[in-house]
Amino acid sequence: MRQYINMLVFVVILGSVVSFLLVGADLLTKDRIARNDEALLKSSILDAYDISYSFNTVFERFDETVEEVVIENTTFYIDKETSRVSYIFKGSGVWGPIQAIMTLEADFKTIVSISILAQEETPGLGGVLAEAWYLEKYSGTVLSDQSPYIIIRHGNEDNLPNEVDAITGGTRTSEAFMKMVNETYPMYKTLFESRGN
Amino acid sequence: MKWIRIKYTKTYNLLKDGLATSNPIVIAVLGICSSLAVSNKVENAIAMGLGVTFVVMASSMLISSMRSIIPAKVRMVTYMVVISTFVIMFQMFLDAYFPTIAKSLAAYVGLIITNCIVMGRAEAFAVKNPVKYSLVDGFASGMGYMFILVVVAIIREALAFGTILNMRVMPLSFTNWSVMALAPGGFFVMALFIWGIREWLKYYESEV
Repeated sequence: MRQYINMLVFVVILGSVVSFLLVGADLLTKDRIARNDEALLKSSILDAYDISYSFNTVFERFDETVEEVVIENTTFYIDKETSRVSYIFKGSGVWGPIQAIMTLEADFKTIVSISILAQEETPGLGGVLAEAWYLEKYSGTVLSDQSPYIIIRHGNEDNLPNEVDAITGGTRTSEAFMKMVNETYPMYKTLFESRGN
Repeated sequence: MKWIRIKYTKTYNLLKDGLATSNPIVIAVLGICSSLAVSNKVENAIAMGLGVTFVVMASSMLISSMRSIIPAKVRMVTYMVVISTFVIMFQMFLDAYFPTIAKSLAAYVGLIITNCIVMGRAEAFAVKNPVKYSLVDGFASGMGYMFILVVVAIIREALAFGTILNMRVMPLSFTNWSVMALAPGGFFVMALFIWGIREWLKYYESEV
């Protein structure tokens, strides 16, 4: 009996010590991590608008050139010069959540670029989703007016304006990503169009 | 005379064991998974090596200082809890101060938790030895891991990207061997390296 009590006491003490360490480390790094995430988001948006910036000027350049519009708790980012619009959309991939930025031309139909903020797909297969050369395929794609807005598919035939090649060896990731875009796009579109009213 | 005597101190022998005679990668063949994955770029190898060194030292220290009160039945669980704590701390540190390296190491930082070197040192050394030597042993094992990682990474980065630490070392006409950046390249270089070092140390595994 005594032995079990000792064990229990030990586990409780160990638990408190490591929790203390972790809370401390979290307090020390939390602000910087949040700032890094923000810098990643802002630099991705600046990249989509072809605005040059350096590591130290991300925040200033962003404030100068980008307008943030909040409609019903959803933030849209608008390039002051070209009126390109960006929004952040989320969904689930094969292994975990995917978070990405969609940048569209002022018509809210033509894709300028898509960049991935977070993903946990299989490296080398589905993970290709986050690689620049693959994401380039999306630029110039025109989302159609009704569902399905975008089609991500395999095959050799020429792509229609709203079709993009799927990832070889990452079929399920491609499907998940297609679902994500198709489910979120109409929502953001309605929101954005209600802006003037 | 002092220099001669240094050879017979425990610290010297611990360092020698970790770096050479029982090097975690070459001799014990532990931690191979992460070493194949992150040895394609020197900066990744250095970050990973430092991470593993920090985690081994910190967990060895904590486990060694608690060695008389750890109940034998929950020994392994204790190691896991302690190791994961330090790994998470290291991950937070990387996320906060080196976000680009954190991004390229991705899942492998979290996987230090399952790196056999850390658990191996805790069970084989820290739990039986005083704090001072556990620290030295942790340092030696971590450095042994980092040393192999960095050397392999230098070979792989030079051949795969023509650079070392992102500085050009190969002539511009050099065609990059992309395969070196991928897993197969890691296997080739690592295997040749392990063979070479084992030949040099005259370490042969006997067949039973």
